[in-house]
Amino acid sequence: MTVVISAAGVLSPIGNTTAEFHQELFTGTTGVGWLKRPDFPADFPIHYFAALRPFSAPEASVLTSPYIKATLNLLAQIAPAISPEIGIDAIVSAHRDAGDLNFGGLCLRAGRHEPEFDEVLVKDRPLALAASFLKQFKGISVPESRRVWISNACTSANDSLAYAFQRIREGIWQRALILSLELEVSPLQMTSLHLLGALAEGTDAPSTVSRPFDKRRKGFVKGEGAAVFLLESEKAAHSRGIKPLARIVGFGASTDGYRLTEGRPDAKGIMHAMGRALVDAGLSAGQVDCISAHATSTPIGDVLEAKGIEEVFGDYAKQLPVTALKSITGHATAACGALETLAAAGMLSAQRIYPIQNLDDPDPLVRLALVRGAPLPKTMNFIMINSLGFGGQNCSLLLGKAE
Amino acid sequence: MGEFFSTDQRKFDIRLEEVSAVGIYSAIFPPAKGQVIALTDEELGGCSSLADLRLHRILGRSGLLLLSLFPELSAGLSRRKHSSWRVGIYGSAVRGPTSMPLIRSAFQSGTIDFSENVRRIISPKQNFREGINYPVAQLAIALNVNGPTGTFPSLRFGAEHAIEAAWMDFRNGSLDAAIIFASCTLENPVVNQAMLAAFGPRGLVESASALLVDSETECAKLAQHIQVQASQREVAGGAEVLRRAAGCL
Repeated sequence: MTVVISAAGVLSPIGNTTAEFHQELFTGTTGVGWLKRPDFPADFPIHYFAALRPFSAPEASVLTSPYIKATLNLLAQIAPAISPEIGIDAIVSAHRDAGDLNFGGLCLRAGRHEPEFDEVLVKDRPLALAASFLKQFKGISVPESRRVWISNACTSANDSLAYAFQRIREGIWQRALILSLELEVSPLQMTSLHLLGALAEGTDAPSTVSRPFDKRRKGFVKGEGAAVFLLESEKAAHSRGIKPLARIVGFGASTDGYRLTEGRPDAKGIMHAMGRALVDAGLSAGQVDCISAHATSTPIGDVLEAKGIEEVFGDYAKQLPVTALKSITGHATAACGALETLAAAGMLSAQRIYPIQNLDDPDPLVRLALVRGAPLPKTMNFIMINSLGFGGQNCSLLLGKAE
Repeated sequence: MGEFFSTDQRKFDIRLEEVSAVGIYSAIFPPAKGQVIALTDEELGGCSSLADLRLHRILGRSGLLLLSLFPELSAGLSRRKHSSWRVGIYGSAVRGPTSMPLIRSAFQSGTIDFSENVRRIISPKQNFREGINYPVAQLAIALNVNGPTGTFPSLRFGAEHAIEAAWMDFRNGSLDAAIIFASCTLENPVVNQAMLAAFGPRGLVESASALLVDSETECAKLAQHIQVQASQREVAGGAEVLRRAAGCL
């Protein structure tokens, strides 16, 4: 059964509607700015952050947790696509567990000296909120056992899409709502990433710092992002007269099994995920028209991914356009795949590829057809989206043009 | 034929211990007692037979409990001789421990000298100890497994979601074998509070279980068997759910 993305909503550093997000991809805008948050001290060693553009939340959201506000905003965005007559079989969510590192930050930010329980325990909140929203406003019940929370670091979002994709393709579910959220950052969490050597440092202009595949890249810029997708069978979407945003046609997953924070030097993990995605979709490498790379802008990670792409696509890699959204949005970790999937849907619809920002001097170790400068018009049917996670998880999702 | 392994088989001593009201949390979290395995993190790490890795420095207790099943899982995989790329790991784990010195420092320092204080106290490894996906990642490294992996943190349904994930990957031809696990520990007061709310004090039990499953048919059986009512689930974390489900193999 063909599976489609029939509706979506987004909150991101470059736009808070799908239309705005898709438009900004091609304008050269970047969402990376200075880290300006009251809970961060002036001497904090990291200066960059890709914050969401300001967004409103429905009045009902009296709680201050950004996860709750963002979830309600996303649900409001997608609500018009959900009618009370249809069923939603499941809600699948990729969101970070707001743990104790974040906990300390929340308290500091608010200048409090006591923890506030409601803000801390957002564990299942996005799922519970979405279920309650569907019940209250659409009369649709989703049992607790069908509220699936996936936590696979930076592959979480696309693993969530893949989880639902498989079940809809098999006819087990007809329709699912997919939520991905990565919000907030605390000084403790940021320090933790900094000590791992993952973040870009310095005082250069923020818009120039996230530079995947560029020789001067020096780490990623932590970002925020959130998205919601309605996935359903193509037949179900067409029967409702809906023109889908894109089709999901295949995916592949693997684990490096090498080190917790470092990819395999032979790139076999990401190669296996890409290869499996092609097999799953029944496509040959030559049918892929563009790759949305994970490319966080770290010195090692970008080269390993490029090596994997070269190995899987062979000579064709020299002409296969590769782009990298994190140059525009920063790295929304658990939600990055959701933003990249939405961006890929926008590229398939517009039939052009957004350029990688700040790619002034491509790394000679990266022998790919990197898209830089201006948007690249191209006839495209299929885009591959790679997600790689701390811990060694790899996920490749294949998106097809809507028919 | 699938195999089942559990920390219950190790007959670890269990003690009743106050777990939910710790340090700065005590003002808001009511005290509760849970059944804790009477081993330190270092001792648990030693059960994995991977002591040279000093796992207790890298992993939270949920990961250590899972890795304590490493010898049995390793032997099980050796008997099967599958390609490492065709074995997947799916499971339910618990977020790792709070660094109490770190949180205290944050509270005490406010934003003055915060960076200096935190950098002095925090270890890069704290990120690994807290991250909920690292137990799976470390098990994959230890077992030399390279297939798909997934962590499903739902305290009530995580094990069920893990079984369903494996089932789908068998169906799409990705797997020859899957490890499906649940590992629940009581080291994180915030998580404990969520467990208390969902299961009550008697639901706070440390344990880990893992199933080594060989086929889509076995997964389908498990998925069918595990669909018990939520009200029947009395213990957080899914290890007990897997133990019951293993009976159908």
